[in-house]
Amino acid sequence: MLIVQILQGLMEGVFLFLIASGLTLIFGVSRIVNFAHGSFYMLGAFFTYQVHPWIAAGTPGGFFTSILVCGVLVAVVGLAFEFFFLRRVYHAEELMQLVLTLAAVLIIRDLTKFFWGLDDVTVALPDDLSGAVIIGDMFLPTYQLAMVTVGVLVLVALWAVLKFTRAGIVLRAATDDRGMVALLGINQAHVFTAVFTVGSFLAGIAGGFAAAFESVNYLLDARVIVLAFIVVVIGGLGSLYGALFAALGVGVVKSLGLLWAPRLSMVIIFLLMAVVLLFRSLRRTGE
Amino acid sequence: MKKAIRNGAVFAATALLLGSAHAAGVKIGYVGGISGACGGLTHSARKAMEIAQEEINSAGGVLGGPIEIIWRDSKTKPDEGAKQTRDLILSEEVDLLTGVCSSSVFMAINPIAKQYEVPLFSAISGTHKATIDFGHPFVVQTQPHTLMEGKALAEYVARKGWNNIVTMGLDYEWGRTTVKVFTEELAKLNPDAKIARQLWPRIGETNLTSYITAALADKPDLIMAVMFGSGTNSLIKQGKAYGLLQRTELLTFLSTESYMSLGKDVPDGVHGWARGPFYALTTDAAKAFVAKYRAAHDGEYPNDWGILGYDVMYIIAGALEKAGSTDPAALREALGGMTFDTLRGEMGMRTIDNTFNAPSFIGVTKMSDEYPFPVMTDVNVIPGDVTLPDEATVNALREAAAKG
Amino acid sequence: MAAERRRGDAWSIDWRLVAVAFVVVAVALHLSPPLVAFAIIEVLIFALYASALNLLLSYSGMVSFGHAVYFGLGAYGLAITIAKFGWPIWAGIVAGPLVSAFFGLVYGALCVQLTAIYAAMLTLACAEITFAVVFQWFDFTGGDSGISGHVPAMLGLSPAWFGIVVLVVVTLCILALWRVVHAPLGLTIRAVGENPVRAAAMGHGRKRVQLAAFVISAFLSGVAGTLYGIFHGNVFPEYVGVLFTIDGLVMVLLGGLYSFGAGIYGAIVYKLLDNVMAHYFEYWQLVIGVILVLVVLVSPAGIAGLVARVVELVRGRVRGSET
Repeated sequence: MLIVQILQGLMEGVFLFLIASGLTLIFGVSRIVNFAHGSFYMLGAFFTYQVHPWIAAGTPGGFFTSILVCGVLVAVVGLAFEFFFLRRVYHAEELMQLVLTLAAVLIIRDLTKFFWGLDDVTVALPDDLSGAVIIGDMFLPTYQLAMVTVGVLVLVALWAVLKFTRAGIVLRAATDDRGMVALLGINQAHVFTAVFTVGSFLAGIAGGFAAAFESVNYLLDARVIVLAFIVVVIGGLGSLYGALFAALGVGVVKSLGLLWAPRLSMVIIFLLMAVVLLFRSLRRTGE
Repeated sequence: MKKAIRNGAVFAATALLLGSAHAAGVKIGYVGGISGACGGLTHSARKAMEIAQEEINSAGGVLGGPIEIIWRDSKTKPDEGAKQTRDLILSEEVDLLTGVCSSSVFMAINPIAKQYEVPLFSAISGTHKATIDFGHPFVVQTQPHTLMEGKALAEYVARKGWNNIVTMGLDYEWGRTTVKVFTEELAKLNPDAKIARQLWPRIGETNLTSYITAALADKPDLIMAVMFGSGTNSLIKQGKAYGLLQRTELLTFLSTESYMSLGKDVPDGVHGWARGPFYALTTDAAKAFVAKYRAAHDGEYPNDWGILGYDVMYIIAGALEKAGSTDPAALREALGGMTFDTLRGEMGMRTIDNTFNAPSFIGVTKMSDEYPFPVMTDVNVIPGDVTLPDEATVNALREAAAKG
Repeated sequence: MAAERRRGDAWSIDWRLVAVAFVVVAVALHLSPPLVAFAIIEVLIFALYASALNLLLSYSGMVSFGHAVYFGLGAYGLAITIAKFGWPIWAGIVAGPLVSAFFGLVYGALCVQLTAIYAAMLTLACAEITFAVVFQWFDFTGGDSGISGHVPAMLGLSPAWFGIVVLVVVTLCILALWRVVHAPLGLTIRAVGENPVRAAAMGHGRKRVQLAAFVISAFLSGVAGTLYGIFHGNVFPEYVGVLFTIDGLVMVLLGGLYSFGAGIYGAIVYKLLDNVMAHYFEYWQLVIGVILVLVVLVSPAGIAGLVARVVELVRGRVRGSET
């Protein structure tokens, strides 16, 4: 039973990583705390709800294609937001960035209500994806395995980009020292735009996956942004690998917590978040 | 500060324009979550109430005049609900209040009805606290409340003979109280039954996979999920891959809007309970109402809250006619001895806690040829007379509440 | 008015302005139908709450992502001391803000150990823990069905007279906040907020000063929350929840950062939209979002900045016509 719970927690963790990866990437490079990350996730979910009947409905290929398409659509929204608005406040007060992303949250939520109403919507899973791989008395749902695969793919892709490409070198430079990039003769604004777009894309596909997994409504944004913050903060703001471990940890704490302390699992996770924050600061000042 | 005054002037102007003089007939204030978390539920209640209003008015109204309803949005927030209620009483001078969605809004409105002695008919919220723990002469419950529902569930589960049970209750008042009452009542009805595990998903939690694996690990006969809306939907969706329905039975709250949003994702064989499933109501009146509702709203079906809303309007109209006035005391007196022919069958109110003996509906889902979504078949109607708590229970709860 | 504050940072209070505003609001309360009076009361209470939050945002270089905790705990302090401990109502009213201040002290002491976004994230964690406890500790807090009936709504007064009580309390608190911002302590707070390194060099410990600001802000938020609890005669977990936090933040940002009036202007505009526009246009929050974008792009100083510009323009014309 413990093994089943831990495994289940890890699978949930990979999905949490998918949710949080974009947020931590954006913060790492441009120091923007993107409150609208949950809203982009929600958009991904509703776009997928809208689009999936049009692309080879009912087949896994069509299903994954529609998630990908919707990820790209969300990326376009993110790109537009960055290009027309966020770009203007990189040099302004940090709080101005908060104002803008908060404004995006309010606007996207009301637009979602306007277009899709208040009722829950769900995306029916293609039959080929709704089964499970059964090992002994352990059930590994096909769809969750697919989500884990995508999470791992994203991780590997990000790792490869960061490690081997020129863009990755620039990104790492930007994370460590924003001024450096400018010295390298690279337009910092382009780097920020690219990263924001990729981050929005990741939020979008995570939302797309969620649409077929859970029930989706316009209140999704707030819940997701808090989850993403937890993961990103525990992992160390801006750290991709930190976010991975934090996500896996949060997933396992939740799945074991509901056995041993069924009513306290969220409190435990937030306590963990508080302790990590304080511990990091003490270590910093101690150094 | 200056803006506040301009703000005030704008308001005053609007209020004057909107305000209307009190005439013959009856003025009902509706406070419900038109927007916010309840928005998805209550739109049907409003549509159904408007149909009832139109029917009653075209048949001559009540007390020599038409029924007028003033619609106010609580935004599903207790503070907004309280504010709107107080204004309905002070500015609009409504005779009665109805609506209410979410127990917190009900609990916020309840003391106001008591303070101003304005009758409040709950049509959408099911907390028992408003009529029992903090009950007063002016609040009326027309649907099965939490205690009744918990008992109805125990009745059904005992009848089915399930012994090894895992409960999964949303971690808030409705979930906790229902699980508690269910557990207590089941112990009385079937001493062999045992609760193997209690799980408490957080409200708003939609990844329920680790709850599902934990529940299935106990190899239960039944998972009793006191969940609704997106929680229930997610549970059913995610449970599929684990063969949840092949490995155990599932009993959960399934009001009509769940079927509508899940469509073919609702597998056959889920046990569900509901408060007013239109498809299980067989009287001519119910069929006529559904036909009328669909004709007026693009072929849409009413959800449970639509049925409850329609019923409450006729309960109000009937009681007013018998009382002969809108006087709260006369109204209560009239209500005490009446039976009403509602869409859900014949019902009456008892006076110790102003609660109707409203039935609970429990059945098994099956894809239907008639509707674009599955519905419940083999619906058991568990009458309110079986589930209403006895007087001693009511008094004990009231004493405990008075102590604080 | 705001321009003067921003330009010269006048120490003195323009008593004529305060008196006129006071009288006008008091008269408006008495002339208004109940719903309008309720709206004015809401504006007053939220003006205090947002102004308290503004002390952190505009003056002490901190961001709180969980300020509803201090607002809501005021209402819980009132309700629990009366309903559970059997205290008299006046004692509950005193206890409300003190409970908020106490939690402000505890959480604040932790949060000032960190800076910038890390501190903000810690306020979020503290807030979520508090919300979870309030929501789940059924027997003590009433869980999601809250506590009501412990105090007569509006103390049994008419909306107009309760409005006057709120007006007096809020005015006194905002005047006190003005004093805080412009007294030596306030100058220190602002010095730390603007440039912690230089302030440290001058001998002001950043942490102690920020903690003082945090506790003052929590206390005044608690006063607002206690008033709100009396206004409705109830308390629910929503009052400590994330929506009330966002409401406060949006009000300050609308009103205009780095101006004393931010909370007041923001509360007026936000509650005006909430109360009036919401009846005609369901998507009023979209409008707020658009206004926020405009604030950033056109007038970073928010409504306060706009007001200042208008005042300057008018004064300029008056002066121009005099000469």
